[in-house]
Amino acid sequence: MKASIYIITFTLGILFVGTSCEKHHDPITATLTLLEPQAGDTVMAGEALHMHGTVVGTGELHGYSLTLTNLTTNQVVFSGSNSSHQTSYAFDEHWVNLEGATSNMRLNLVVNLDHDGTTTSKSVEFVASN
Amino acid sequence: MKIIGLIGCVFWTFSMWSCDICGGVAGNSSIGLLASTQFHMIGIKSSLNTYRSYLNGIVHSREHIAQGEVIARWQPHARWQISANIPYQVGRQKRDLGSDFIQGLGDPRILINHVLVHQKDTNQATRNFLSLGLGIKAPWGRRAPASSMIRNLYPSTGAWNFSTVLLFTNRLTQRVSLQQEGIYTYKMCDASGYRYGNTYSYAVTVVWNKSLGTGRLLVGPGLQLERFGASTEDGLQVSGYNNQGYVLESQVSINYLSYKWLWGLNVVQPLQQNFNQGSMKQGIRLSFTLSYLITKNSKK
Repeated sequence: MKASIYIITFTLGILFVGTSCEKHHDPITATLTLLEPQAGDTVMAGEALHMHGTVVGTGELHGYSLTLTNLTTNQVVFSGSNSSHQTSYAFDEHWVNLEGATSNMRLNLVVNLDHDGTTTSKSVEFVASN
Repeated sequence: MKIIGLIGCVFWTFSMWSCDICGGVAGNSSIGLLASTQFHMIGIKSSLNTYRSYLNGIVHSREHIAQGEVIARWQPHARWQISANIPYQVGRQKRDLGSDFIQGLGDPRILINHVLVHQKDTNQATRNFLSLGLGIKAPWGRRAPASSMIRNLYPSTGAWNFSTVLLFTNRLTQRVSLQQEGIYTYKMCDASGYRYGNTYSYAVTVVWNKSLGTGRLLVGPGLQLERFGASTEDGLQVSGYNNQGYVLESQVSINYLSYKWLWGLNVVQPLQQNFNQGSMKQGIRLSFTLSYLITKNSKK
């Protein structure tokens, strides 16, 4: 009888410990850094824009996308995405200013933290000059 | 007889061109075996170089540079050698969000080498060999437009290079010799005013040879240190990433010399490197060379 009580108590204890450890993962976060361009920069006509930055996660990330939008015409002039699972990313892309008119531009970086639609983002605005 | 005459030959694994691919990291340009005086040679060489580019320690692109070259060496005189090659290059950069692919003719190169010392033993095998070479790389290959952000992927640097090559080989035993070479390359600026920094290199190779079948096997493990100066633009040092740095590499060459042919395989593995502020790392490099040997007409 005593042995049975010990076994039941031990088993419940294991279950309790197992359950209590199961759901306490911290949510994944990411640090987004846009090195280039900087806010307020001006890219002259015909010149190349350097889109340069890093993403560092506290755990596995689920991809990222980079979108460059002309806010004056509301046109996306560059976009790209990477769906690989990594703990960090770095990007170094180029775009040449052929807009034809001075425009306000926005570069938007979106990082997928999971597959349920949780994201974090960072953007920077600058000017494409003519 | 031809093979026996080559026992005293020297490896010529020099890095005279420092071709500036990916910013100058691909300095080596082995043109295979240089027999001391006996042959003209014509051949082909295929090579593959790999690189990774980093931002804050995170890889953001991978580069593969493949080259096919026609190489030739003419021996007009016992003390004069002329080598030339014309490369064709295919370069690919793979990034997270895209890729670039650039191909075209590279810069042709010529080297005029003067044999200063060539001492032989009673068997006519080379004992000591010292030569001084002057090389020129002409900017006639496909070059990047001035505004290009992937300048290093293009086959041509768009600038003239001038090199001096000092090579010394001495035989240690009947089967082993030691080769040392020092190279300095002065680089001029391209049409846009951009100039890669000058390069210096020193290499030491132990060459071991043994007869095998109808030919001779030559194996040369060695070490090489290359230093790259900073790039400048309109005379001013480029700030930030300016291609400055060094690479210490191990390498091994395996060559087989038959009656008419010379086969060569060269593998280079960086041991330590700090280049372009750590933003680029060179990977393993492989090259394969096949040359046809043409016996000099002897005059009596």
